[in-house]
Amino acid sequence: MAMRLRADDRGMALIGVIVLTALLMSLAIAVALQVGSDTQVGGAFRSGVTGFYAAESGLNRGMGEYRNIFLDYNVPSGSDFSARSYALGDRQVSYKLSERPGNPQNIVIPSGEVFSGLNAIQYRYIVNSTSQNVNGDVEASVGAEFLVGYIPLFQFVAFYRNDLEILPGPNMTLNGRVHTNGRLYLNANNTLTIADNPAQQVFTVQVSAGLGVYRGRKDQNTCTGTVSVDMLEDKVAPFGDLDPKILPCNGSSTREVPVAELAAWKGSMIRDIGNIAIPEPDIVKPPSTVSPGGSGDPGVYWAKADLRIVLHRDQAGGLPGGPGGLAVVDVVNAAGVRDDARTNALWQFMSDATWNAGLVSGRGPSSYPGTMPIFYTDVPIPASGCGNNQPACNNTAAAAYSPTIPAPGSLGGPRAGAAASGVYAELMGAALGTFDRDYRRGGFYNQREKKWMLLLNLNVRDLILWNSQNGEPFFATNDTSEGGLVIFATIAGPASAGINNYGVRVFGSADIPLPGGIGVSADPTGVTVASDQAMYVLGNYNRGTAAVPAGPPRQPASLIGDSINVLSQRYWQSQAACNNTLCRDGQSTQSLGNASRNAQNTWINAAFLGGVDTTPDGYQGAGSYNGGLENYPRFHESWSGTSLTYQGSFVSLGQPEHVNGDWCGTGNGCNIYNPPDRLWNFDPAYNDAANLPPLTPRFVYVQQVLFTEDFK
Amino acid sequence: MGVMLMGLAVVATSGMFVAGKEHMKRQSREVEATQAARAAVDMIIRDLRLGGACLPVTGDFISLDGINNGNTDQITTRTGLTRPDLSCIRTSVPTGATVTASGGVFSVSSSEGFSPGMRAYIRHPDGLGEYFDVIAVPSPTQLAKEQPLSRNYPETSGVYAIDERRFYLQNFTNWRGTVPELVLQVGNQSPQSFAVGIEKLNIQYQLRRNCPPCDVVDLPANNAEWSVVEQVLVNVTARSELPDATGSYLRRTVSVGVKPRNLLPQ
Repeated sequence: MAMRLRADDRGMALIGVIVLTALLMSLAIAVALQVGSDTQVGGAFRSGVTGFYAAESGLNRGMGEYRNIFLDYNVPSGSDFSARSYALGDRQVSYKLSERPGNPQNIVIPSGEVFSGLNAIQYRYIVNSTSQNVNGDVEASVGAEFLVGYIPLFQFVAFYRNDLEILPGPNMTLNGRVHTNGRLYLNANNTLTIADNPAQQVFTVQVSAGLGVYRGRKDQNTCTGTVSVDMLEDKVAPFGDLDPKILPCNGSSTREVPVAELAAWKGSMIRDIGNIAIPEPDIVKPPSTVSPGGSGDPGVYWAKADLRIVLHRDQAGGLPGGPGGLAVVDVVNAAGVRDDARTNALWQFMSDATWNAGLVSGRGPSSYPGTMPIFYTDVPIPASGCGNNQPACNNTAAAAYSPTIPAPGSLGGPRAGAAASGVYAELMGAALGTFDRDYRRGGFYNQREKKWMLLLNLNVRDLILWNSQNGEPFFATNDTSEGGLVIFATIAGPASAGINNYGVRVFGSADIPLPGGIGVSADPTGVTVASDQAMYVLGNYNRGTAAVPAGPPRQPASLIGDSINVLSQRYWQSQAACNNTLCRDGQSTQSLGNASRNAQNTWINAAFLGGVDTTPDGYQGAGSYNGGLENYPRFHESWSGTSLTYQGSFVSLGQPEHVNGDWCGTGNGCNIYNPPDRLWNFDPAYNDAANLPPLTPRFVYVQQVLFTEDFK
Repeated sequence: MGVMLMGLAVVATSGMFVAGKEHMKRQSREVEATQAARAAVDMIIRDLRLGGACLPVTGDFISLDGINNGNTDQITTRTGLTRPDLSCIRTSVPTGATVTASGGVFSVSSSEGFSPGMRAYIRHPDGLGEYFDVIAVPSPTQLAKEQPLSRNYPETSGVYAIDERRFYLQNFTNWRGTVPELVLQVGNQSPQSFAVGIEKLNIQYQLRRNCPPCDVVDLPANNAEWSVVEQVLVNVTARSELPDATGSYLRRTVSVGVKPRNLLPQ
């Protein structure tokens, strides 16, 4: 019995050990399985998250690369659409660009997006990116759609490359969009209002800056006046008109307005917008074979011009039958080689007395009968006491120019009946048979530059009209390639490349005699006059139906130059008004208080593209101020009490390359100008792409519109 | 002696087994709670990342919305719908056209991608807009709306196809008692249970204001604050499905910051 008990005892122990071992093993297995499972789940989660960010990095990298293609004014092609990959840790990231069918599209950017309402040529692309782990498994897949818009610049009331300051003295209202790629400074002595204008078809407002938005001045650490910008909101009466909101000073110092504060405008004020590529200033350069200031790769305005007129300053010559001189005006082709046929036609136009006087029915007359439609304003010689910083000199004497300007009535000289010297004075009447064949006139002194200017003067209206009435030797009047006519005029001289005293001046063009027009035809032709040198516009330009009585319709028009100068309708006065001695540019030497420098109400309908000075950074004082947007056009008269009625768009692509005269303020102290009443508006007709001036420059805008993650 | 030893071994091992089993149960509940929280957060993150896609970036802010209610917040994300190639379904009222408030059919630049039954948003150039349902697509340049609008919309007004998702918490009752859950509602459809056991949803918003460290608010107070949301801070607490022996639930909290990539132009 005792032995049985001992035997049972041993068996129980064995069974117990086996059972316990089994239990422990099952427990261990269960724990191991659960830990393994949890580790797997956690690992998968971590892997998914890490993979997602890896894929996202590919997306960002791809978008950055592709964005640069567009910002360089190119469009992806060929290998740009090939898949690309790179290693990120132990992962492989692949990304690829694909193009959405239907590119490009001409669209109006919908309301709600940046630059809404603008006409744009838009391309849409998609980038997809995936990340793979070491086993080749796709961990995450993400995608993004982005669009690339080529947006015409003349859809802004003001568009600047560098810092833009809007600091008007008198009240000033801007309707439309304002953009700068730099910093935007808003201030006023009284009130600056940026608002919509439904009555003028300006339905929205957008004020955007590539960098920051500042309330106050840039040249001084001060903040004054009232600045009001419309919000993208219309909740208070009158309805149908965006609600204004004051951008306040915060103390008396200039301040940077934070994003959070700008958000109250609901998108009508945006800073740090970035992503905008704008044309370089060399888009207006001629070939280097034409001018020392030219480029080996001439700009688009030269390359696509319908007519290229060059004043060769250092080539002796003149009109056939004329006295000869130190400069030749001719027409050249895109390569810069004289186009004999067109040059002969140009000379015929310049000396067509019958046409100029309108003596033959159906031909002419000139808008300035008796005045040569193309001429140049010469620079008096130092021997006459004239020179830089020397406006008070013997500039009215023929002998002050070399060679001497012929006396009126003499061979090749101005017509008889003019004042003695023939330098400035000339009867502005019908031509007297034998036309003036000397296309030189007396000098113009630019008080801001403190220089005598060499100006190539061009009557655009006469050129277009004469062309259409004489078999169209220059261009087809109804040419709509590039949106219409593009006339490039320049001065090729020794100082073309740097700071100089050159300029191109258009005059006599209160109407542009082209078929149709804005509001009349669906796609009016229009004209752009461009130069790499300073651009001057004298008198009413493309006034259109604003004239009283109503004149011909205005055309899409733009004036493009190194800087833009405006001379009033009164600038060329009749002899009686200027004492028979100071017609044309003679009055430019007078003090601002002299009545001969008084301006007259003037109307201009044209987009401007020119350079503006930049106020240096760092509150360097009023002497460093560039004059702000209100001084984008450079004035040279006393406009006090008179108005400049302007409709168009102000675009600055940077600092002028050829003029550097400081804006030193108004009044007699500077003797440059007194400001006009600024009746300035964006031309709402430009909202229709068909009405944009020929060869309107575009900026490139790249925007991500969609980020997606593919879920499996 | 052997029986005693075996008894001791059995008792000790049984104790270990029971403890191990309890640990397994606890770990199982932890995994369950953690996975529930992760799943909920993952879904919210994904929708937040996409929020605002293809929608207006100016004017009234419509991409995100929410309700602040302590630990039971709500959040709504809106995105634009896309075509199969990912391009946004959106268009504009063309030059010269007007969408009249009472009219049915109106002109758009392109109706490509729109289809009957879609919800859409029309935005006035003044920044305000309203929703409507597309009832038909009569032509490549026309849409038909179901509801009358509150006012007319002029040229350049934007028209966007949208998708709206709302996350919020609610309770339901089963044989075990009251159970919290995260609910997802898509548009005007019936809400659907998304994750069971989610008992806290706390959403905060980091603004691009006073940075660094940047303001954090429980809910943006107005359009201006919504427009500067830079990051959404999501805090989710999930509990296990079953309580332990003491009646306590295991809880796990997951916190993440999500940058909505589509809210503002890049």
